[in-house]
Amino acid sequence: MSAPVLVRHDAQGTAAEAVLDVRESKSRICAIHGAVADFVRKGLPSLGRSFAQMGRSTVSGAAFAVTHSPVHSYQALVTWVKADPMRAFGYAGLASDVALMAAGGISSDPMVALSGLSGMALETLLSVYGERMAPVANAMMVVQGVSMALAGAGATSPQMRSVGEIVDGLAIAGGAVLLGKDDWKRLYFKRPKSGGGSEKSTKVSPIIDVASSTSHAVAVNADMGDLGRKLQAFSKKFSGGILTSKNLTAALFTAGDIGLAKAALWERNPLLMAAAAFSILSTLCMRVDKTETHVQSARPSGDLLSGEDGEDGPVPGAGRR
Amino acid sequence: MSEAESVELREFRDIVDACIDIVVLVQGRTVHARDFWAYVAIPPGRYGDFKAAEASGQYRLNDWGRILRHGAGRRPPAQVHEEMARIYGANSAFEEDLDAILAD
Repeated sequence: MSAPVLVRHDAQGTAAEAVLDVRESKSRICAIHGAVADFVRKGLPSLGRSFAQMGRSTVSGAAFAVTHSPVHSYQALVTWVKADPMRAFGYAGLASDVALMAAGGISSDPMVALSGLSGMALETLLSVYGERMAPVANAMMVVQGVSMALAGAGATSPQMRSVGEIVDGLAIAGGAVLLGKDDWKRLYFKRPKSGGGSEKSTKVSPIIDVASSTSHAVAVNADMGDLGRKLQAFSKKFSGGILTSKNLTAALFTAGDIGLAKAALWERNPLLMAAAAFSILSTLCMRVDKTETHVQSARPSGDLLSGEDGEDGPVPGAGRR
Repeated sequence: MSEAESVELREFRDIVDACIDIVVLVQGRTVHARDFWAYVAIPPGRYGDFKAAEASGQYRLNDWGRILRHGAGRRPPAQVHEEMARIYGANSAFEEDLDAILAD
C-alpha cells in the first residue's frame, strides 16, 4: 500500500481530478455539516434592523443575545443547545416572534404583527410574573396561533393562503391547547442539570442531533435517498404513535415550522424566513430537551435576560413554544 | 398541488443544499487501479444521485461534491480523521448510530 498523499483540496486542483476518476468505491456518511447556523445567520441582518427600529430594551437585549451567542458554527450550535437547551429555546422563540412582528409591520399585515406581538407579550408576562402566568399562557398562545391562521387566510397570495401561515397558526394554537399548566412550568422554569445531563443524553452524540435537526428539511424533500428515508423515519418516530399530548405538540410544531418556511419562501420575505429559522431552532431545542432535568422554583424577574448561564430562573423568551 | 408546490420544493431544496453538506468518506479504486480515500461534502439534494452513480460503476467523484481531503491508500490517516472530526464533526459510526437511534 502506498503512503497516503494528502492534498488540500483546491477548486481547480488537477491532482484531485487525476486521482478521483473512480472505478469502484464504497462510501459512508460521516457527518451532516452546516445547516441551522448558516440558515439563521441569513436572517439576522434584517432582524437587526428591525430590533433597532423597535428600540425596546428587551428586544435589543434578545437581539444582542442571539447575535452574540456562541452560534458561529453548527457544531457550536449543537454544543450550545445541548449545554443549555432551554435558554437556546427561549432566545430562538423570542427571535422568531420578533421577526414575525417586524414582518407584519413591514408588510402591513396586522394579523402577522398581532401574532408576533402576542408571542412577545406572553414572553414578557411570563418573564415578569413568572409561574403565576402559566394558567393563561395557553390562552395567549391560542390567540397567537389563531391570529396567524387568520393572517394566512387573509393573505392575498393564494399559495400562502393554501398552506403557509394557516398551518403554522393552527399548529401553534393546537400545540397551545395541548400544553397544560404544568407543561408551561416545565418549558419556562426547568433547567438542565449542570454537568451535561443524564445518562441518556450522553449516549447521543452531537452528530446525531445534527441529523435530527435536518429532518425538517427532509420532510418536504422526497428525493434524498437512504438518508432521507432514515431521517423521515426518525421524524415519524419522534412524533409517532401520537399517543401523548407532548408528542402531538411536537408534531404540530414541526408542521408549523414547515408551514412557516413555505410561507416565507412563497412570499420571499426574509423576516418570515428568519422567523421560520428561529422557530425551527426552538423546535430543535425542544427535541434536545428530552434529557432528564429538574424543576426549579420560579424567580420572577423584570429582565428578560436576567440569569447567567447555570443559574436558576426564568428562561428568556420561552413563551412562544 | 402542483406546479406551485413543486417550484417551492425546488427552492427549498436549493436553500437546504446551500446550507447543508453531507460529509461522506469514500474508499475505492481509481480508473488507474490505485486505491484511494476521500472525504467529500455532498449537497443533500445530490446525495441520492451520487449513490446511484457509485452503484453503477465508473464515475467522477468531483462531479458530485466538494472534495475536502483525499489521498492514496484505503484508509485516511489518523490525523485526517481527527481533522475531519474537529472541523465537520465526522464520525465513522454515524450511520450505525443513526440506525441505533431509529431502532431505539
